[in-house]
Amino acid sequence: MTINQSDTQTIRVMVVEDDPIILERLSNIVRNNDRLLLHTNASTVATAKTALLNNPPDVLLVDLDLPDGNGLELIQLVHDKGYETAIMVISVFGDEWHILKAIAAGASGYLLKDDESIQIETAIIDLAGGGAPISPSIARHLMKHFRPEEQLLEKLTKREQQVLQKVAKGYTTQEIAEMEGLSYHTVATHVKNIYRKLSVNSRAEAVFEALKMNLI
Amino acid sequence: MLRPLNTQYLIWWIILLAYVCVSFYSSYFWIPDLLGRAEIKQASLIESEATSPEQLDLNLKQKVSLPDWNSAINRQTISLWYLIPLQGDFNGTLKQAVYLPRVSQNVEVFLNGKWLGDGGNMVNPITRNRNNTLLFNFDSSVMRANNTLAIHLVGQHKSRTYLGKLYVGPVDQLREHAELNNYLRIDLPTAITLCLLLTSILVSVLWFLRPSDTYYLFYSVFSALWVFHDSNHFIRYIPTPLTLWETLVPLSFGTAMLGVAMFLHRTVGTYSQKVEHFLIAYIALLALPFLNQDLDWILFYAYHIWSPCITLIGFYLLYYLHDAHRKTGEDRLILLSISGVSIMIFGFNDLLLAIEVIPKQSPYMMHFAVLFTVITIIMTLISRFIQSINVVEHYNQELQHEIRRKTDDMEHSYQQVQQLTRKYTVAEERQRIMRDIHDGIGGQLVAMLASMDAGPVNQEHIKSNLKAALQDLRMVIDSLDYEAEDLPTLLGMLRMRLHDQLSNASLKLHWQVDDLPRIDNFGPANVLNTMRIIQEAITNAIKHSYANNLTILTSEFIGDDQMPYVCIEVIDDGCGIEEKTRNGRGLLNMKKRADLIGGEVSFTNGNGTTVRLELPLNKQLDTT
Repeated sequence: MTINQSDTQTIRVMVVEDDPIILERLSNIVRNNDRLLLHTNASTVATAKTALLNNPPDVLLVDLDLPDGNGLELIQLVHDKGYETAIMVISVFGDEWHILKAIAAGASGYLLKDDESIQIETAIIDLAGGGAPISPSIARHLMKHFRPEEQLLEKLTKREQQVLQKVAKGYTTQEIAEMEGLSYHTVATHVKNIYRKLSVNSRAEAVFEALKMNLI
Repeated sequence: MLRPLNTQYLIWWIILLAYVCVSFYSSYFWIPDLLGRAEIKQASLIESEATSPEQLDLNLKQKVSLPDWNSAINRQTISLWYLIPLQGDFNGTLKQAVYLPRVSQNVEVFLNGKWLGDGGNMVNPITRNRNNTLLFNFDSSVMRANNTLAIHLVGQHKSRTYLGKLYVGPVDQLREHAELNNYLRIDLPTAITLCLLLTSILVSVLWFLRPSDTYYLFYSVFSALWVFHDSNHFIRYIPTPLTLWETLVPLSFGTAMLGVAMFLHRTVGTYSQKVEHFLIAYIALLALPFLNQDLDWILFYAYHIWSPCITLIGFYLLYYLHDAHRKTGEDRLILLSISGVSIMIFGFNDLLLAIEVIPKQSPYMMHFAVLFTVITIIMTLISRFIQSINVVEHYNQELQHEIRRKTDDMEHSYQQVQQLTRKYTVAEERQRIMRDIHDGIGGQLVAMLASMDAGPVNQEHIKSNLKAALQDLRMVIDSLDYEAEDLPTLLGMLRMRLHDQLSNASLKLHWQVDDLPRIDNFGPANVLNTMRIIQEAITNAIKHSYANNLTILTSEFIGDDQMPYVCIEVIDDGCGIEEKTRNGRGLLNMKKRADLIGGEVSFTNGNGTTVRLELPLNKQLDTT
């Protein structure tokens, strides 16, 4: 397993979650890990926005359904401002509908609310180090999105396609790295690049749609 | 029963009447009589085969009055000489002419033994000038005090040899008369006959384009025959021997009438085949006497028996048209009836003339009927054509309307079907999800509540139960993902959901999942059932097998039924399934679920356990 290069550096984490119990649980997980530092915990879009603009964290954990808006707004904001913040969506089901939307907006992973503490810690550290979790179903959806016949702004490389194919069949990042003779980190980077391309293409589509509707 | 006369009917009768009046007037009275003094009424007749006046035996001459219609037949001869004394006073007018408006066939004219001219061949084939006026010019300066005009009349048959009126006078006066006569008797019939020929050709083209409309064919046939018959009026050199010609002319008339009958039958549309067969037999039988190629006989038979018998067909056709009009009330039949009447009227004139009931100098008039008939028939055909186009347009519109209506209906039905299908699908899916929740998470939550009611419960126990319930709910949600119909992805999702159990277990997982062909219309229900079978197999291996290795393997194969199958195997190297659990609830459930997907699950004990799920690729799977 790849270890973060900047081992010693603490990772500043911002948690946005409207359920107080989950917020408290996630905050505690961050507080209790030496590598992690709780930057802010917020339960509304508005608070989170102010904190983000003040001082962007290294990692943003964000729920999508918030009382005063959608977590996607925050993801969009990070993306638009060009912050280096890595984003994870906190989800109950990890279903492809929510996750793909978040990835298209600029997120690069997701957490399940009931994941064990240790899993959550690992996921945050992994993400900060350039990792990007992916599920077989999301891989399958991405394969469909990046079909060769689609007119996309950015297409997948051969290697990225191979990675997606393996993920879609249920192989783990580690297994793929072994099978393809790559490092764990390289496979993770491939996934992250795929996410980025999805986000770029989605934005292009959004602009195109907006142009079509004379909005801009 | 007589139908009340409608206006159109009346108008057409008036038009016919006017037409008949005009025709008769122009034929009989339009050309003014020449002044009496120009006409020669006395002559001396010598029956002789001589070819010049010098050869005549003047002792044989007999007084005869002109016009002379009967001398030839009375004397049984076809070559007659007429000698006319002429006085030399011409009031100083130099240019004089001998004018013969109606000569049976041909003459040559001599003045004082000097040849003035002829009307064509004087020997066989003798030129036929029956409707052609003859005008011979001479200069009065050659005249003496007493002059002799000699006219040599020749023919081919005694009954068809006569000399009509004879005029001698100033050429200007006579030429005008001759031209009018020629116009009426030659030019007009020729023009009409050519028109008829033209329509015959045009209509035959129509028939080529629409062979099923046989009335076009019969129109062309009868009009062509009629053209032939009419040519007899103006043709001066007949192309066949006289006897054959005199046979063909009446025959063409008779068969033309048969053609008219067949044309009318088909134009009207309803007719008796029997009547038509009878008409054909009638004509064929009547034509037999023509086989006796004796000119006397043929001339007699053609005009005294054949033609009147053909007239009977005319009467039949008038009756037929009247009857058809009475039955159908179609106005176009009026037009045809009226032109039929015109044929009868003008034909009657010609018949009477042919059998010499009316004077020989009377004009033939059938071509007037032809003109009238051609006009009416062409009008009928045009109106019929226009009517057809209107009918086609009408039906076309109807058809388009009908198609539009049907399309709307279909669209409506399709929408209804779609709506129903959607309703049905939604209802079905709702039921399925309810059942899944009831069987899975619902049952788990109820069981947990019950155990909590029973007494204090271990928190870890509650947690693991809750985890299981949540896992089940996630699997239900995963099964709704369209991409989960892809079996490797389904297995991948299952692996992810079972991550905790797998990583906590002491066995090593060997993931050997490869691409599998997609099963069409697999659907969420089948996805979930497949997930649960494999989940059960994996869970069993983890909980009960004490295995070190667990392999998940996919493959494809062709079954005994030669159909393609896909196969998922869960293989452990553990202790195998005990006999008592073989019929346990878990395994039975797996079998039941496999049945639901149309697949088959089998359990093999060897070095451990192999759970093998086989699914047919092409079989229509039960999606409920």
